Amino acid sequence: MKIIHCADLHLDSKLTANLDKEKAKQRKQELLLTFKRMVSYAADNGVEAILICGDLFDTKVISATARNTVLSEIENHPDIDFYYLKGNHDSDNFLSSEEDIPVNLKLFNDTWTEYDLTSDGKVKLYGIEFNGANTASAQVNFVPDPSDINIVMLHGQESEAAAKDKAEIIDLKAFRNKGINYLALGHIHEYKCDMLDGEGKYCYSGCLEGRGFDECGEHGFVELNIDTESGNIDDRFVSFALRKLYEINVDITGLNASPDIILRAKNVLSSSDASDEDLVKVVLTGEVDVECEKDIAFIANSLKDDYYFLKVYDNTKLHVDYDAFMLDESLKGEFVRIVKASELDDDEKADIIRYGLNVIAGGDIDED
Amino acid sequence: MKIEYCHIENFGKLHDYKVDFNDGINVIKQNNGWGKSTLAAFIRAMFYGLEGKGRTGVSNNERRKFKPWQGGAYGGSLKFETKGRHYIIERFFGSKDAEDTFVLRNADTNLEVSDFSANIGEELFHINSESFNKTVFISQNDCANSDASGDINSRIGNISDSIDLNRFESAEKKLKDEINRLNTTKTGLQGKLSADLSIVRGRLNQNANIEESIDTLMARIDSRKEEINRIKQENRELSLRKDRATKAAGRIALKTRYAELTEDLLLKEKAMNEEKGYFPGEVPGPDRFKEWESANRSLQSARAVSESHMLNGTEKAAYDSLCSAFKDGVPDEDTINGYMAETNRLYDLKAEDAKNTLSEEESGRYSFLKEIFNNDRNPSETVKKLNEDWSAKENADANAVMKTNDRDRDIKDLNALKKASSGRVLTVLLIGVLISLTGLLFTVVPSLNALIENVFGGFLNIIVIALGLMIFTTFVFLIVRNSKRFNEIEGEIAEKTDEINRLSEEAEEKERRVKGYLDRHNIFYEDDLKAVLFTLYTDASNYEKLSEKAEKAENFNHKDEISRLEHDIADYLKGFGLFKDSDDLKNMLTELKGKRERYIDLAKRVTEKGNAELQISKAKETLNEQLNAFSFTPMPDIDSQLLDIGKHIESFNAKESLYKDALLRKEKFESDNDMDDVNAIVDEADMISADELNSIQEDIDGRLEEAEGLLKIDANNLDSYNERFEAFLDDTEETERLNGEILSVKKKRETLVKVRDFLNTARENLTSKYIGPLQSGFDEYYEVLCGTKDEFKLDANMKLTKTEQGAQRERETLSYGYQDLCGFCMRLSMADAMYKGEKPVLILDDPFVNLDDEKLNGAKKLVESVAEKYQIIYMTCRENRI
Repeated sequence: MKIIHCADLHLDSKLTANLDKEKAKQRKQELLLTFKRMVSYAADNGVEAILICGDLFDTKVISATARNTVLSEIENHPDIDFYYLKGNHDSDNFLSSEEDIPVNLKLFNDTWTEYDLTSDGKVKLYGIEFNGANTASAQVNFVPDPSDINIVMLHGQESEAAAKDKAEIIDLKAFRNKGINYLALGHIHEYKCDMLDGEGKYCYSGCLEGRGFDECGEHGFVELNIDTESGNIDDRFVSFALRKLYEINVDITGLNASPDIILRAKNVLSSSDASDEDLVKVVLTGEVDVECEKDIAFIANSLKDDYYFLKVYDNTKLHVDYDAFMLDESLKGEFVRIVKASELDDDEKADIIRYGLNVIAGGDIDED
Repeated sequence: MKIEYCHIENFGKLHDYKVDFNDGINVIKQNNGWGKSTLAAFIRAMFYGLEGKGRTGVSNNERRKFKPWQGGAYGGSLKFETKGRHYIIERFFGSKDAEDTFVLRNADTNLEVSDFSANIGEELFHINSESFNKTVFISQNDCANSDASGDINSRIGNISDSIDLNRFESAEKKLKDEINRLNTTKTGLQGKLSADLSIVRGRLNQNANIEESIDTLMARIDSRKEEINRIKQENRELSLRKDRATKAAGRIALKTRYAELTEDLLLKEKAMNEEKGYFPGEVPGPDRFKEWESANRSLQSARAVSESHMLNGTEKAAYDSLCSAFKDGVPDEDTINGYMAETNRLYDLKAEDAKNTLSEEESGRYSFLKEIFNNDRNPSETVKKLNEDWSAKENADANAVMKTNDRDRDIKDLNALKKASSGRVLTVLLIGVLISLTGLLFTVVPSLNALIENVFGGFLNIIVIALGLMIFTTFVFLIVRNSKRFNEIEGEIAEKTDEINRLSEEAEEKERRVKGYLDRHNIFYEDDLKAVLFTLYTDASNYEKLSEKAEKAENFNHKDEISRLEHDIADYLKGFGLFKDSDDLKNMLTELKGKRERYIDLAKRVTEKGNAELQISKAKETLNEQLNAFSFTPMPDIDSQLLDIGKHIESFNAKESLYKDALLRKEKFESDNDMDDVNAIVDEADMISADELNSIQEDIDGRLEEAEGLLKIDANNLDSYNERFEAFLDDTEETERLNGEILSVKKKRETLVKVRDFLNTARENLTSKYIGPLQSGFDEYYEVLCGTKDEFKLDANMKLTKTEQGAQRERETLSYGYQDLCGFCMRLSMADAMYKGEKPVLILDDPFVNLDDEKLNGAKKLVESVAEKYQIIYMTCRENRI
């Protein structure tokens, strides 16, 4: 049988951290459309169950469109069972106004819930929603039948990594050697798959679509192909995101003007994998002269038309050649000398010098 | 440096003006309006070109201000010396910069040289035009202005890059503007962002507990859902109870129904059997009873026929009488009609005979007229001729009277004519005689003759005689003509008399003939003879008609035929005993005809009645047999008996049908239902009433509706809370963004403040290096002017302040005179500082107009003193300023 393991869809995310309102709205719809595409993929490929390992939604507030779309997809695909385990971002809001839950929507709660994925009972699915109080005991007390093909759904941070966002810690050791064939996890937005013990695997499917530049790279879901006779589970990551996010560093050391920087950035971008459908964050790095003319807004505008979205982040260091001003009997020279002599830190000195030399040279002060 | 010569070709109001300059002071004293300022401007324009490019006002735009009124190119030449070399500048101006020309010549060789460019001012003085105006070019309107520009400062301080000093002010302004834009006031960016943050925080505070509220609300929603589910469960249980109650009620209803059907069947059976008791034997079937009814209808019909053809007493008597009358046979209708035709012919013949016989009156009249006309065959023709004669007689009488009158008029006219003619003849005769006598007298008497001859000539007497003869001839003619006319009239009178006599005789003859006839036939007449003749003509016509009728009656009649017909008809009638009188034959035949028809009708009825009686007898026999077969005893009133039987048969059939229906219903019920179930015992617990169930249902519905309503309200509230939560999240994000932005702005502002401070410090550091020499220079010049020193202090920004009572006063607060003095001294001091080697020319355009006499004297001394170091071109309009 075929199963899809997905997590962290974060539907209804605001997405306004990077995008303007219009694009954020479009991208928000794309998250929902990607969910629909995944369900269609499942229907087209004979998938019998979709495991949603938490954070289906982003916040307590769920838009009517998102709720209705998800429910509609579930109801319109009665041959697929949807197993939905709530994550730290989910709430009961999703079904609060629904009196009748679709029969093919299977839910979990704060105690271990068991489902038979096959009619002969050979493939078992377990899941529990951690709430702090039950986390530790539930992990220890969980004892499946090793003779079954056991799949476990959880949402939380694996113990080797630091916890964040109130997520519960999943102690992988507690699940080892218990006959778990596949531990389907949600919470970490990047795909990660490794051996749990000698037999089983644990896997974070990652999110379906990257939302910010901390979620660059491939995103999608994991497709499991279970041989119910042998008990073998073949898993493969399916890259499924509509758009990818890239953070691309551009070293502009030695460049002193915006056109040169734009040219350098274009060269770097053209050699990257980013396509015109993707979201790109260009990070300017390196050290530039304090008198370097560097208009970030202009640079971003010059590059943005080639991509769905592009932003430029200036992470360069300013270099001040103090020696060059030591004998300069001019206002500029005097200015640099007294700034240098001040007790400010080097970065601030460089910043002040950059502003000062700019206005002395007749330039305008950026209104950023 | 020295300006040696100046030639103005055209420049403003100056035209072809030439002037030489020497070392020291060169005074140009001219009245106001001569063009002193124009000359000063020309000198500056020779070095720097025209000022005010792009300005619209004439006063500020030198190209427009100094363009000659007559048009054309304007400019001139200036000869100067610097570092021992002599040059001539030739500069002319067009309507725009591109049309300007600049040529520099070596004054010694007059060849063009390129030692300086068109920007010769800056190359020569090392300052721009603005700085030139603030130092060595001192005009009366700008004397007080001695602010040091960037290149002045650079020049004074010997600073390598004068450009950045020049930009200091704009840089400072940009920094100041940006710092202000970013500050924390209401209009500053930090202030605006803080205000926005305050608003957002306010909203955040309002929604601070929204998340908890949502959790609480969702818990309540879950609780309400559980309540709804409980109520729905109750509802489902009630539905089951309803089903059981419905089944129990159905079973009870079936039991009741079955009992009703059974009882109904028994009742119907009893009623049917009661009705069956009426019949002594079997109950006749409907077909059989129909046969009875049919037989009875035939019986009743025959009876009706018999009764309708029965003869009453009168009819019986009539029938018997007619049988007796027609014992020998019934008269044939055609025979009767034949005698009727004979009778009609008889009547026609009698009428024709009666028509040709004279009536009594006619016989009397005929006898009377026969005596008058005495067997005259055609008396009307005779009387007609008499009438004609009488008319002729009356015509002749009338003609005779008319002719007599005519003749009498002729006689009277003849007599009158004769009398008139004799008078006219005598007159003519008399005139003729008189004229003839006169003629003779003139002829005869000489005196008269002579007189006539003298007067009328010799022929008058002859003329008179001739005239007398002519008149006499006329007399004769008249006599002859009158005689002829008299004879003609007398002849006519005689003819008329003859005619009158003939007419009288004719009238008498006619009268005699008429009267003779009347007299012969003894017909009386008087004067009305014409009327008598008319009446006689009428009588004659009547007499002729009556005579003809009498002749026909005598010769033509049908007496024999009439007798024969009367005899035949009478004989026929007598055969039936109906003859009474020959004059009533037609009525008697009509009576016979009526009797014949009456007899036939009565005879027919007698026959049909007999046939009906036979049918009655046969029908009675049949009916009796039928009734006996079903054990009925036939009653005399068979009709009523059959009616009664029929009613009972109908009643029986109806009751039997009802019985069968009831039986069918019972059997159908038994087949349709599980009789074991019907007969099973009903659980009393299920026997709950519909009202009770409805009451429970209403309670459940009410609670469900209330719970769902509350859930709906909570769901709506949840939507509202969700919106608020979303807004809360937005505001949280916005707060972070605003905080970040405020920090960023704040940091930037702090940085810019530092930039501004460092920049000011740098500038002060630079200028402080040459403030000392400038202050010394200023103090020296000021002392020459005012006799005092140390009153003014110069700061690092080249600003002068006056020390008064321990405080520093801005130069701008002083009088114009002091301001001019300070400006003048400052400019000299700056010139000294700027030009350590070769000194430039000082151009003074009447700078001392604001000075009082004391200060003016000081100024003169100062100028004389300065003239030792500088060539001075001093323009003024007053002698006392020299």
